Order: sequence, then C-alpha cells, then structure tokens
Amino acid sequence: MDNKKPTFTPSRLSLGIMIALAAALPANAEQDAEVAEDTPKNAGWMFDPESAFYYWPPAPPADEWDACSLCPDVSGWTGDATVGIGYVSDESAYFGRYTGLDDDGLYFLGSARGRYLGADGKYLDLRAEDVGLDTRSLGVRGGERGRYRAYLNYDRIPGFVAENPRTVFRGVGSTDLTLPADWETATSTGGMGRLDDSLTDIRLGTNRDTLSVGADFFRKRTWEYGIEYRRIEQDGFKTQGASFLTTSSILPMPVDRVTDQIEARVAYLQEDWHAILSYHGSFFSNKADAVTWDNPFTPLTAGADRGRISQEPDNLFHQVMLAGNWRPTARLDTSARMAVGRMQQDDTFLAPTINPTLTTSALPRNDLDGQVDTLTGNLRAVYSAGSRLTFIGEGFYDDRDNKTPRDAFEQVGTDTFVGGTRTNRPYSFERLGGRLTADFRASSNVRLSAGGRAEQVKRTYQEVDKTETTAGWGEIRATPTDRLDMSLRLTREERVLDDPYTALADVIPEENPLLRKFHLASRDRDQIAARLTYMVSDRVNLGVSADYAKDDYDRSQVGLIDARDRAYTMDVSATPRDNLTVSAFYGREQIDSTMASSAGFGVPDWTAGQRDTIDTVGVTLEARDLGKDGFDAGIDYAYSSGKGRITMQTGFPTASLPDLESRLNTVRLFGRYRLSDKLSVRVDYLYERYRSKDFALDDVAPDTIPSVLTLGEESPNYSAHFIGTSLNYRF
Amino acid sequence: MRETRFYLRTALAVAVLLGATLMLGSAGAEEPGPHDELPTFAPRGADTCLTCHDGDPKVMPIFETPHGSLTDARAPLANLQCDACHGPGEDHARRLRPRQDRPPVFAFGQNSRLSREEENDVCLTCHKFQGSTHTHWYGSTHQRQDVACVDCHRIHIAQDPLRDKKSQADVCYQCHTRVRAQSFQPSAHPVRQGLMTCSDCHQAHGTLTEAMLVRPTLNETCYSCHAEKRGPFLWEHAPSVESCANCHEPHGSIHSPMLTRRAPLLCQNCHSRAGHPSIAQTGDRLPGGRPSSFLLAGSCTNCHSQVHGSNHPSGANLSR
Repeated sequence: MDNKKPTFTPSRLSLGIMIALAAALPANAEQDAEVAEDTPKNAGWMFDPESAFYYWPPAPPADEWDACSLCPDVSGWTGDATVGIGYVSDESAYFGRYTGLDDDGLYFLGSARGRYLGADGKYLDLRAEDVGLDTRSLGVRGGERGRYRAYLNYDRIPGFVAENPRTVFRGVGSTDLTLPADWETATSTGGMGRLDDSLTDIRLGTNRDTLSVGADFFRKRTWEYGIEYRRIEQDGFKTQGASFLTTSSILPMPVDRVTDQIEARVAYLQEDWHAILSYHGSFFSNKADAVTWDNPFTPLTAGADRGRISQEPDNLFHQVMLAGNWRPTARLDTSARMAVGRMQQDDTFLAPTINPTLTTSALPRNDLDGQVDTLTGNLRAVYSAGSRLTFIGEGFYDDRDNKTPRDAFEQVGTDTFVGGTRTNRPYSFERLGGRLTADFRASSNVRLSAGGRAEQVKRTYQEVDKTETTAGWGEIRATPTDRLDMSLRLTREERVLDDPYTALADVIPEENPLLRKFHLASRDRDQIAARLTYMVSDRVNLGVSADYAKDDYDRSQVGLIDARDRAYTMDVSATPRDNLTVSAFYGREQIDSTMASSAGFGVPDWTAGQRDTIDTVGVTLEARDLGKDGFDAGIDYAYSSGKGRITMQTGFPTASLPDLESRLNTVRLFGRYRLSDKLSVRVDYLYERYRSKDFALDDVAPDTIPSVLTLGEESPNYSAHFIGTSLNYRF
Repeated sequence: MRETRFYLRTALAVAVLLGATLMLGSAGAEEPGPHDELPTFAPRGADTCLTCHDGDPKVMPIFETPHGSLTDARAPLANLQCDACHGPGEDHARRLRPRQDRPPVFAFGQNSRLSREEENDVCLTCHKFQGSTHTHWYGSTHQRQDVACVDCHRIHIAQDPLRDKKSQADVCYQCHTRVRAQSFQPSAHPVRQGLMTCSDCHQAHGTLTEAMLVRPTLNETCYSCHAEKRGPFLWEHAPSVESCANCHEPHGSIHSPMLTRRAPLLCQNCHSRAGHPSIAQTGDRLPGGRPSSFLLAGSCTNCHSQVHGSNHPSGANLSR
C-alpha cells in the first residue's frame, strides 16, 4: 500500500504550452477596444446564386441605427426562484439513481436562476438546480460580451450499484474487509454456519461530482483563448468479484477516485482560414488502489486466508492538438487535425501475493513504467464541383504505440499457489484509411450519394496482425414536395484478414483453434437505413425510420457467428393550437446474435442464440395559458419494455433460461397556476413503476452458489410516487 | 508486398484526390463582383422593424441574448441589426399599396424561401469565426444531411433549449429517435434525465472523428469521464484497449453495464479454452438446479473481475 503517488505536475511540455497561452492573452483593455474598429461596420451578407458566393454589400452608414431608440432596455437583474417541498412514497435505490429520490419521505425542492445584464455588455448568470437533491447542480457564468467570459459549474450524478445488498464483511467503505470474529469457514457457502447471523444490510451507491472552472477570451475577431480546469470526484461503492482459485466472494468495494483535467486552447481566425492549438491534460488518482479481504471459504492452501486485489492505478495523459480549416474558395473547404498524446502509468506494483507461506521471485521491476504514445491525424477536403456535385475526401491515421516494457512475471494464482511466469503483452494498434464521398443533386428534389471507405488495422501480440476493411454505400434522398422528405441508404462492408488467424502460443490452456474473436474475424456487414418525414400540415409532423444491420462471420466456426439488428421508430408531433403541443413516439428494436462453442475442444457442439426485444412508447401533452388567469399543465407518459431471450442448443435436453425482463412505466404530471405576474404555484406528480427479472440475480441468496458468496442483491422492482408543490417568484 | 501495395494505393488515392480538389478549387475560384442593384436596408435599422414588431413575444426575447447585444462588436445588433440575418428590409417595411402583399424578409425554418444551405451560411457569416466549434462543419454528417442551424437552435428566446443541460437531449431526440428509445433501457447514461448531455460526447457541428465524437478517438472520448479505464495496465484486455464499443453500447442496453450482449455469452464469443470457458451454461445451472458460478451473479466476472485490465503482478488472468 506504499504505492508511489501520481505525477500530478503537468509535464514540461504542457507547462510550456500553458505559459505560451498565457503570454498570448490580451495585454490590456486598450487592445480589446480595437474590436469595433476591426469589424466591418454595417456589414452584411448577400447570396449570389450564380456564383454561390457571399459578399458584403456596401451598406450606407446609418448613425441612427446605433441609437436603436425602440430597443428595450434589458439591463438589470432578472430571474426566478423556486422553493417547495416534495414527498416520495417508497424507498428504492434504483428509483433514486439519476433522480436523487432514493429515500422515502420529504425533500426540499429549490432552484433559482438569475441574470444580470449591464448596459456596457457585462453580464452575470447564476443557476442553482435541484438544491435539495443529490442531483444538484450549480453554475455561475459572467463576463463581457464579445471580450471574455468566465464560468464555474458544479454538478452531482448519483449512481446505482445494487438493490438491497447484504454482506458478511465488516469494514465496508475501507480497503480492508474483514470477517466477524466468530466466522466459521467452510468449503462451500452452504456450510458457512455463521452466514445468516453475520449478514448485514448495506447501502451501495456512487456519487460523481464534477467541478469545472474556466474562462474564454476574445481579441478582435482573430484571437480566441480558452482555459478550463475540471475535477471529477467519484466516491461510494462498486461490487466486484474476488476469488481464491475455485471460490469467490462478491465484495462491496470502496470507490475513491479523482480525475483532474486541464484544457487550454488558442485559436487564430482569419476570413478564409483558422488554426487552433490546444492542450488536454488528464491526471487520474485512485485513493483506494488495492483492497484486502478475508477469505470466507476454507483456504485451499496454507496462508490463503486473506487476499489482495488491485484497483485501477493512477495514470496521466497529455495531448497536444493542432486543428485547422482553410477555405481558399467558396468551392473548396479543407480541414485537418493532428493530435499527439502520451499516456503514462508508473504506480508501484503490489507484491505478487500477501500469502506469507509462499516464496516468490523478485519482481522484474518495481513499477510498470507504462507508456503509450498516441498519434492521430485526420484530413478532409470538401469540393463543390458546381452547384450539383460535391466530393468529400477524408484520410485518417490513428496510432497507439505502446512502449511499455515487456517482462516475465511469476504468477501467484489468487494468493493460493505459485504458478508459472507470464509475459505482459503491451498492445499497439495502427489504423490507416480513407473515405471518398460524392453527393449529387440530380434535381431540386433528388440527391444521390455514393461513397467508399478503406481501412487497415495493424495490431501487435494478437491472433491477427492485420485486417483490411472496405466498404461501399449509396444513398438516395428525395423531397418530392416541400412537406415530404425520404431517404434510403445501403451499405456493404467487408473485413478480411491479411494474415492467417493464429492462436497465441503463450495462452495456457490454449484456445480452441477454431475460435475467431469477433473483433478480429472476417466479417461481412450489410446495413439499410430508411427515413421518412412528412409535414402533414403546418401543425402536424410525422416521422418514420427503419434500420437494419446484419453481420456475418461465416468463416468463424467457434465464436460469434452472426448478429442482426432491426430498429423501427415512429414519431408524431402536433400543435393543434398555439398553446397546445402533443407528441407521441413508438420504437421497437430487435437485436439477435448467434454464437457457437465447443465443450469438447473441437468442432462446435453447442450454440447459443440471444434475442433482445425492446419496445418504447411515449406520449406528451402540454398546454399553456389556459383560462384567463394563466394555467399551464402537462402530462408525459413513457413505457419501455426490454426482453432478452437466450436459447441454448447443446444436443441434450436441458432446461431453458428464463427471459430477462424489464418494464418501466413513468407518468409525469404538472400544473402551474399564475397567482400574479411574478408569483406562480406549481404541483408536480411522478409515478414510476419498474419491474425486472434477471436470472443472474433472482433467487440468488448469498449462499445459493456453493462456490460464490454473493451479496444477495435483487433485481430492481419498485413502485414509487413523488408529489411536490412549489412556489416560483420571478423578478 | 501486400502491405506495400496497400500503402501505394492509399497514397496514390490521397494524392489524386488532393491534387484534383486543389486544382479544381483554384480553377473554380470566383471573385465577388459588384452588384448594380442591391436591395436596401431598413432605413432606421432595428427601429424600423420594432415600429411593428415591438412587444412581439416571438421577437423581443432576442434582446436578452448575445445576438441582441449592442455592445458586442460581433453581434448582429451591433452591426446590421435585424437586417444582418433577415436581409435588407426596406421593401418589407415600406407602406403598402392597396391589395399589395407585404414583401417578405428572409425567415428561417419551416416555409423559409432560403435553402437550408443558405440559411446556414447566414449563421456561418459570423459563426465561422468560432474556430473551436465550427472548424469541421463542412463535410460533417449534419451538414451533408442538410440540417439547418435553426432545426436545433432557437435564437429569439432568452434560453436556447439546446444550450440547457436539462432540455438538450429532447432537441436531439427529435431526429435521433432510436437513441431516444435506447435511453429508456435499464442501463444507460443519464442523458434522458438531463444529468448528461449529448454534447458531452458528440460535437454536433462536426469533428473529424467517427460519429462526431469530441475527442480524436472513441476510447479517448470515453476516458474523458472514465479515466480509470485508461491505463496502461500491466495486463491489458485487448478488445477493451482497442475499442470500448467492442463490448459496450453507450446509448443504452438491457444488459448492465451497457453491454452489447449478456455474460457469459459475451465473454464466450472470444474465449473458448478447454475447461469452463467453453462449457454451455443452461437453465440447469440456475437456483433449484446446480447453481453455477459461471452463470449467476457476475458470471465470468465473479473471478475475472478486472476486465478493463489489471496492474497486479499476479493478475495475468484478470482476477487480481
């Protein structure tokens, strides 16, 4: 646990960039005052359809425009504040994720927005939302329009981990999980005599707090500067399995992570070109970098009564990026980007084991000295060959060069026995490719597009050194009337292996030689996408979409064989009256896949099919300014159903797996009544009903699986009502 | 040899493409010529317009926005005022003869007489100077699909819903209906709830990354929030390092945490070693039968829980 702490100090390179950025900032206010002089006064645009070019006609000076005597004076403070109280009927961790309403009982509801505008262009925006909830959010933004702005934002996202978990471990929240003093170990969970008495209810959740502070500066129209610091803190829990060879425990693991990020950029802008230089620094620190726990099972070997599992090591990433755009003529637009980055990780290694009875060789090094250099380059050129034909050419290069040293590490199997050595495989990748697209406006109503793509990926230490992917596609888009827009797109893609698929030699026991990992395997992919939008009238819109994708891995015998995805959506929105909006949507997605494997380590002897079916329905109705006193009301209903069906075919009669199911019903209602010009009262009601079935969790008590001591968590199921009332004051 | 041919083909294609576009681009360059008959601007600028439109709730909130600033030299109101976007308005403002229809100014959105491209070019007249966000607009998916700025942005109201964290997703969902459906899945990022935004991951004005992602690669985009997965680790999991999308569906899934398929099948797609990885886990291995550690609770991750990589010296099989 004496790991070296991360190198938080940005590298000299990044420091140099930040100094350069700081030096380039506006020197004084007088320079800012040049803004107005540099900007074409009374300039405007005019489109010339013949030349497809924009120019600035000479507008006569109109001093009286500056006065704008009828423009309203909006200087001063405006805003509103809301204070209220809410009540939640039932407690549910799952309902509380992303709503902050995990407990039953009363909640304070508060939010406020304020804006100050000065006659001199200075402004200040204040925002506070969900003040009484875990989803709270705050923001401050201010500056002078056209010159600078500064901001501070804070928000929290509460997360869900497990519903009603129970554990026998003590010290939950720490990095040392122990068993009760009277714990009785056993070879299986069924024999753990003190299990039931030792179980305690725990609450597991996470919070992600993000604080960002930044500023942007604008100098004339030609310079733009920005800098931002962001801190992300994650704390709470996660669940994680930790094993001793043949047995395992699901542990409530502490989460205590911090990520600091710095973004800085400077942009130089001209009429027909601009360039942006930016720096991104990310520094990750894990305060819970290892967890030790007592083995609740009878140790298989002496000393295997405690284990230690690592957590994510501290790491950092620097990246410098140069991007630009050059538009030499109205017909040609080019843009490019190049990013150079470096990931580093040098956390001190843990000992190979904490089992005092095992003797191990010295580690080949004290830390990984891990380093990955990244280089990403992109180019794009868009050329309009007349008003009808446009070509787009793109090239891309992405290199992940892993320079981490390779060494042989003696393996201690789960703190239980000393095994052989394994040599690490620092993976590198290189992607190179390009795309060419042609868009042709066949008529004012029809556009045809076609394109192709070629990509090559090279990998190290994997079963395939190189794959090549080529794709071609065509699209037709038609607008037979001003109200109807239709499109159809077909895509065909093929991925082939440039070298034979060769199983890795140092994997023991070896993989089935017929296996083809899906991301390395030969694959044919077909995609169809169709869209239709129809403006039935000025007040009614209709949209329909259909997507189909099919992946064939027909040269794979073991592994993923095929996958298919079909999705359909339908949308209707209408505004029957100016103060009434109605919308509804329906969506269905069906995802199928088939895989094959071999228990006999030979030709396939079993297959598995998986079908996920998802239906989603939503209806929203909102009315404003009802009655002479001003009454707003709305209702929002959503239903979502997910079903996962797994079909196993082994050639033997076996019981089937039950379907995975989830059903969400949500109803939201609100009513707002204006008591006066400034004061209104609002009532909110939310009902959520969620039902789910998951065979991996249902009926799995802590001692159900003989070799795994679980947390006995349940599939989330809840019905919760929320009702709240609040007063809103506008100023 | 094959590799050399690939490089040669790629280099040749890029060279031809760039050469052709540059040649055609310079040949097609056209200088703007003087126009003899220009429409004229509103005689008193915004005051002319406000003579009629003063108090119109569809118009007036713009004065609370950056576009309505008289002090920002970049803002339309500090330049040609209403005419800066709506075009020269003298004809529109002129007194009508009997039975004469009022000549329109340029309007945006539905029933606009401008094409989508022309509408966007009005906005880009100024916003092309926002180098950090509009660099890669031309050639982007939204530009090619004729998405207009006003399809997403509303500039005549005090707070553009697209720039509000709580309401941004609803704007995007108007077209991205499939993504909206995915957002209702049991395992999804909290975008629908307004705690995250689409723009946390996507730059709608275009980038040079696939799916208009904000960072140069997919994984770097994910690492923006999930830096703990970045490593490098001593023992890496190759598909995780190559692409998070090999196992995850970031818009939502019925398999937590946003997995494309269910474990153990997801893992068995790539692992078929002799022994437990290649055993079929059927309904016989449920509670009531012979409960299996390879199927229930965390399935494979009951033991191999470091699926994003391990830095433990004894963690080669991702269990430490």
